[in-house]
Amino acid sequence: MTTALLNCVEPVLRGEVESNAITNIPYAVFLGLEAFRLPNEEIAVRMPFKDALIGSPSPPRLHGGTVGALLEFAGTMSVALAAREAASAPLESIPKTIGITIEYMRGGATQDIYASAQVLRLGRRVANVRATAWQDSFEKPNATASMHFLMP
Amino acid sequence: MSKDEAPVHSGPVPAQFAQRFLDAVPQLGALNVSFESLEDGKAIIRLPYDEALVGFPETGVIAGGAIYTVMDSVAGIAVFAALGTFVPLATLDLRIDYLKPATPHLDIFGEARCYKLTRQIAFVRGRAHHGDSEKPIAHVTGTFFLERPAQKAEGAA
Repeated sequence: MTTALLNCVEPVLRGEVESNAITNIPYAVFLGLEAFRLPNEEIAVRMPFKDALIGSPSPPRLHGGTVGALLEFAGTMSVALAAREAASAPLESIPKTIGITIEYMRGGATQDIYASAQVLRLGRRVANVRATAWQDSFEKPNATASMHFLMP
Repeated sequence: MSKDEAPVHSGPVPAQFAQRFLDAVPQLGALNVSFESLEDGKAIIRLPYDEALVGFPETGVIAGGAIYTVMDSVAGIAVFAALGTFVPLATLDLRIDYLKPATPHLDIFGEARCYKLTRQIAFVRGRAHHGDSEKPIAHVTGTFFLERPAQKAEGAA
């Protein structure tokens, strides 16, 4: 079923569209996530701002949990893409997160937020991933994540 | 006890304040999170099962991100309970270990306790489960920064 995960990413990968909503995972729809292509061609995830993402009312800031969810999603997507590239076939199911550690550096302003992830090691059993979430500039991250996935 | 170590106590933040805190957070409203209990410094909130939160469509298992959000929030309530007041909090880091997949169609309880409080930092542990905390779905540890004036140490430059 990673096919489902990657279906929405395909048109972005092929360069047909700049971004595409992720419609086949309910929680991604709940957050409003979109896959998009960075200027360096890397695939990243965007979480467009909406009021429902707010976690602290005054001053309004994105809920750290939703930023964490965005980071985890970027990580899952990067593992699915890396695994398909390595095996030239999609994974049978979505990689399961074993653990994730998130470090928060800046509160999330009430605007869109982005995340991209790098697979540091793609093993047969475990994948190790780092991800970064940012708003105005990648150089000023809101949060970074270190996570490991159990490969299906 | 050194000056910068406030005692960890509980109780002064009553349940209705915890509920008011939850009501003021749009994301928790979107998740339909409700307050469950706050006793002896242990805060518990409830996330109802919702198809909209599914992260694994083939099994109906809730996305880890939704559980993570619940744990971040209940950790905050545990800090308020330990402080006895509301102070703006910033999560410095939060680690979650997913011990086993959540069971589809069951509500998820997030519970947390602040086990150490200093003037500026709160340390929290918690777990998510389906009603029996001895059968956890996830375990979290977090560190929070308390946005309040640092106490000036005597003789400090």
